[in-house]
Amino acid sequence: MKALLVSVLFLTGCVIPSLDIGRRIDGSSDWIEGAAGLEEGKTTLPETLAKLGPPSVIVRVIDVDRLYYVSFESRTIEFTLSAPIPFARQGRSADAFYMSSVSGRVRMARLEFQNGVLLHRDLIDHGSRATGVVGGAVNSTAVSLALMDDYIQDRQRARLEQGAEDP
Amino acid sequence: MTRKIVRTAIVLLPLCLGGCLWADAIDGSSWSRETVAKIEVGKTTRAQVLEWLGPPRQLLRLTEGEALVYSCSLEKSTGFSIIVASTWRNDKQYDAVTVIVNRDGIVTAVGSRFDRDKSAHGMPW
Repeated sequence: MKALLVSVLFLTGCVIPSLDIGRRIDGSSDWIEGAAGLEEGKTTLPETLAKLGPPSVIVRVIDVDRLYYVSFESRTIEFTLSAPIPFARQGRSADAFYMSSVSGRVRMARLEFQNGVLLHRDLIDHGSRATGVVGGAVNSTAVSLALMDDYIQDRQRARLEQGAEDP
Repeated sequence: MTRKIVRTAIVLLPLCLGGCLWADAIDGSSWSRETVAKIEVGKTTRAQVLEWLGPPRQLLRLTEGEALVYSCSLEKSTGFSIIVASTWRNDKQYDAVTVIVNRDGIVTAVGSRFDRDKSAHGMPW
């Protein structure tokens, strides 16, 4: 009898379980080892391109050329048990149970060249994990790094600049 | 016994209904390794690069010249859904070439990567 009741609840949509497992990979991180071997004040732009390959973003910022190498990977596991509550003229839904685990890893190198020689090198290998087990709320964390902000701005700048050019 | 089978079937029915996703998305046109290998630093001209590789995806002014950026991505998506559960995986990899040309129109640096074929379908784990 209990099994039948549970089946009816699930089949009629009174209780909706959901399990989502995913993974996203964007770009290769083969350049990491090469980036670690670059020397400020010594390595040139041609050497860098030959060693690390093409960057994800390249842009001129005042008197320096800035190159970004970026790769990203994330994993998601999410389980939800939601219970839609019918109201007159409006439908409402509430998550009776929510459990999620999201982990991500960003690898980035920012290289600045002046007169064709490496001026500054910044490397980040940042892993983050957000786990939440709640009823009706989501727990999350965000990567907030100055380097990420610069990357987003410079990527946008490069996109705008290409729009003004005509090969 | 029969009632037990029916109950079990009712419970398991949603698990049997679902779908799957198997998709390849290509963004940009690719080029051969041989063509890229023809580009020589100090010899090849901007005009030759444009002739061999076509118009770049991005053309950016640098402090001592310009960068011709070529890229082509392949994103392989795999997903399975059984109503209450779903799994997915997106794998995006790139073929890319960046050519730096000086103010005289001569190639001064070149970097290439051919990772597009490393993109793979599969499960998320």
